[in-house]
Amino acid sequence: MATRDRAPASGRGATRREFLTGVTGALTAAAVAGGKILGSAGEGATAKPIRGPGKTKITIDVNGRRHDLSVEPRTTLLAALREDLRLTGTKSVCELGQCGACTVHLDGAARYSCLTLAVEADGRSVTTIEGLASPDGDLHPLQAAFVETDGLQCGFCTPGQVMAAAALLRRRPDPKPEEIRAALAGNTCRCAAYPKIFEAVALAASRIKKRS
Amino acid sequence: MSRKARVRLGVPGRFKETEVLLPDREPDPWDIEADLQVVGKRIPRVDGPDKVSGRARYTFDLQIPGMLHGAILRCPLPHARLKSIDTARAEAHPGVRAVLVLDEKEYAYAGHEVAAVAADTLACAEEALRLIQAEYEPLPFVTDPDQARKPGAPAVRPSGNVDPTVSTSRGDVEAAFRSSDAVVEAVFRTPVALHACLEGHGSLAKWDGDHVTLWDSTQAVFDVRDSLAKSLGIPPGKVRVIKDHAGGGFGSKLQMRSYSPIAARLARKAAAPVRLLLNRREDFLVTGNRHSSVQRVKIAGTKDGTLTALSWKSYGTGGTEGGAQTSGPIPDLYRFPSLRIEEEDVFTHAGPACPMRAPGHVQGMIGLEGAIDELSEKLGLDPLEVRIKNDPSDIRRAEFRLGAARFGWKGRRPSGTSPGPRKRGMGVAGSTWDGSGIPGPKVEVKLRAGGGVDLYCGTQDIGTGTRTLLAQVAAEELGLGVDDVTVHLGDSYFPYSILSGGSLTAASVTPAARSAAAAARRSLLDRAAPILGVRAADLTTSRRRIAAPAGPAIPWDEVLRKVPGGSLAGEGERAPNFAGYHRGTAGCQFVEAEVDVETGQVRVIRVVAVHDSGRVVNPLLWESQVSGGILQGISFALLEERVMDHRFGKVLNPNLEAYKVIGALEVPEIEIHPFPVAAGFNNTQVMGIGEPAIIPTAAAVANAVANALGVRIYHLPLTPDKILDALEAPSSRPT
Repeated sequence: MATRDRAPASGRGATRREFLTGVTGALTAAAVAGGKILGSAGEGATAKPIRGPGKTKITIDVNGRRHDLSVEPRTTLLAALREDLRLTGTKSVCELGQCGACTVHLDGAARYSCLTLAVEADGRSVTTIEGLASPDGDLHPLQAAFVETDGLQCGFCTPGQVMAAAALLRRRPDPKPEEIRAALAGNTCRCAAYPKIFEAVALAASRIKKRS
Repeated sequence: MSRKARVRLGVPGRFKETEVLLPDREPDPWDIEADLQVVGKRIPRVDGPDKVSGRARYTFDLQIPGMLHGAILRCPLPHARLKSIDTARAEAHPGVRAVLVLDEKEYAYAGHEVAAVAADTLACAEEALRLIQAEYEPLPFVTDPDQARKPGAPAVRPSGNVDPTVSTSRGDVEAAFRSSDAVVEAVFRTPVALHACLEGHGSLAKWDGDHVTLWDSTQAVFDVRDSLAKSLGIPPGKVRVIKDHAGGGFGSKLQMRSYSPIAARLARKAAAPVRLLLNRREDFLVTGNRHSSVQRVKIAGTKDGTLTALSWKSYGTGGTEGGAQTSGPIPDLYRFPSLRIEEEDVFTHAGPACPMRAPGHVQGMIGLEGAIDELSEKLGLDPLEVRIKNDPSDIRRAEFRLGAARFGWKGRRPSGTSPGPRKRGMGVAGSTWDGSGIPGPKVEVKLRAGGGVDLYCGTQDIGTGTRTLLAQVAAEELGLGVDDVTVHLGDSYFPYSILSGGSLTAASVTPAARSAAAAARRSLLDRAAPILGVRAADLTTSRRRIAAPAGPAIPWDEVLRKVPGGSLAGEGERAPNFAGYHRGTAGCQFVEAEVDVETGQVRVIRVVAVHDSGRVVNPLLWESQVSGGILQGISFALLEERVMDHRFGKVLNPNLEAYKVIGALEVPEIEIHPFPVAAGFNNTQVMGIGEPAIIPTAAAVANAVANALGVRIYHLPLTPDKILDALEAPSSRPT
């Protein structure tokens, strides 16, 4: 079932595959900038001063609110969200980019927050599962559809699934079934709620389309 | 006191009224076809909105003021004795608040706990671990069960590495082998597999004086409470264990593990709460696994497809833990006039096994259902007909026929005749699992003035939907909607419940919830009777109103406001099982698979599943359980294997990259049919489904692959390398 490794890149800022490719590239060509390896376009290694090893100040827009944080350069975006901002909807499972439970949006594109350093998000905008519902608390159509179709069991992977699906619908409002699968290929659900997850994404897509 | 009640029992279309004995206060079982308003409906799970919005708090999400972070130093060797340990540098490291050297000084697997640290940050705790200087004396080790069985192998336990666990027989097996028309013998192997629940294992411990609260990602708050109390040497009353949401378990969280007392001891030493969460690597090394198995199966039958004899010799390793049986379902699933079972646990220097969804059954089906297919092949018979002919369960025989019709079993080709490079095949397998539940769980239901019904039970919802099922059952009994009932669970301060495992939960807690709700309603109506001037027995209630046969209805609040405290409580306890219809749930699954003989890739195309689990409280959630079990079964058949380097005694793939589990691209078409048997064991007539759903899948996949290729692969998982090897040497049956 190596087909998973052949999955389309699914339009994320950096899929695990691209990340790994980038690392390999970096090993052979040491000049590749760290920022580029991680896919944060337009942020060359020389563009900003070297930071660390102590704490450094960053500013991130999270779910529409500006946060000034002081983080060590080694701090992942995942840790900053969960431990510093206490936004624990984004889950920590493998911390190696292997499961997708930590998926958030960075400037609108899906990212594994465990493979993203908090300093990379400096000056950028992050959306987490807590920011997906409308400000008055109404669930996003995807969230509502996950509940309705029972696209979850233990729920631990669910925020990541929803965020990956939301990124898909932004770029492909009317996805084909195989596009839904491909977009979620980087998000493991151990309870294996997949059939109903696919159903939820298709249902939400049809409702969003009807509404607009 | 007990009383008689009449209940309809049996299989759909043939329900038969039977008299059963019930405890005095027990509500009559709901008839299997009763017209219920909330139970049996496709209601989205009540905690769904919390889970999709990130509000649901799991143990791994908790933070409390002043909390420290714990980390564990683990032995890198598979077998070693601690010669010396120096923690001075770790203790002096800035930010470190407590260092603990554990009592045990000899370790029987790589990853065993040696020492632990609590510090201001996780990074600081991990730095401190690297500053601990531990010197180990390496000891001889063995991780390969075949080596461990040999005389002179390094000893895992003083009593020896091999422990015979089951030895039973009936009839003259050897005579039956001699007189039968066909005999088949083969050796089937299954690997060690990992639970890999996404929320790992971990605890947060907080002391208040001599009382400790432990938030734990567990399937069993009461078992953890008692084990922790024992470990700390304090009374269970001084321990409270809480688990709100849990990110999966699959059996790996049924018992307390060392991180819980370590967190509590670190917290006591540091005089601050300690959160100790295992990382993914640790989780894969020390928190349990599905034991391996080597099954030598010899089976015989006659020309007409009657099974005559089975010899089952099986051993497996659960590392340092026993329990590696595979024969659980063997005596029950199909009739064997003569049968011999011999089983052994083999101990190795590897992380301990523990129950994993349908322990032993998933493995045992590989050998049993594989052998039945091979025998059928040799006799020139349809393997489905051979099963039906020898199946003692009228439920499963009907399920086989229903499943075959839905699946299109008639289209199955003779093995090895599928044309072209992508060969298709079909396979089938059955399941049996008790699932009738056990007595013990208690539930309290409180009706409150001013609105609201609260249900308290110390059970756990590990993703199966227990919260929702409890709300539905209480709502049904009280004439309310599911949103009117708030379910509180996962707390050892709530009424006692059993662990959430073994497909016991729904069948054990829903009857207690119904009894509790019925008791609360009785209490309410008893108090309403004098107000309305009628007998309580003549009153009915729905939508928080109490109605007399004639005359006006009054709201609940008119009664509840007169009660001190403004609430009425009802308590219920799960009664022992009534005399039911047929012990054991039955199920079967049909699989179509495609094998690419050029690449060795296997793809499951579709699955049809038929399962009996008594009354289905919520078909939406029930389907999720079944489909999740099927997909985990496919994952076990095709992908999952913990790989051990026997030269060094180390696990090579303790992560989700190299330990593969099924993903979105590998999901086949799945068709699920409930088979609502009126089982009659309890007042809701619910039976378990969690384990039955995974039992037949991997065996059916293996049979489909064998049918596609005309060659069987005897060793799971069915990875491309094995497929290609088997195609090169089709006659090499392992012995």
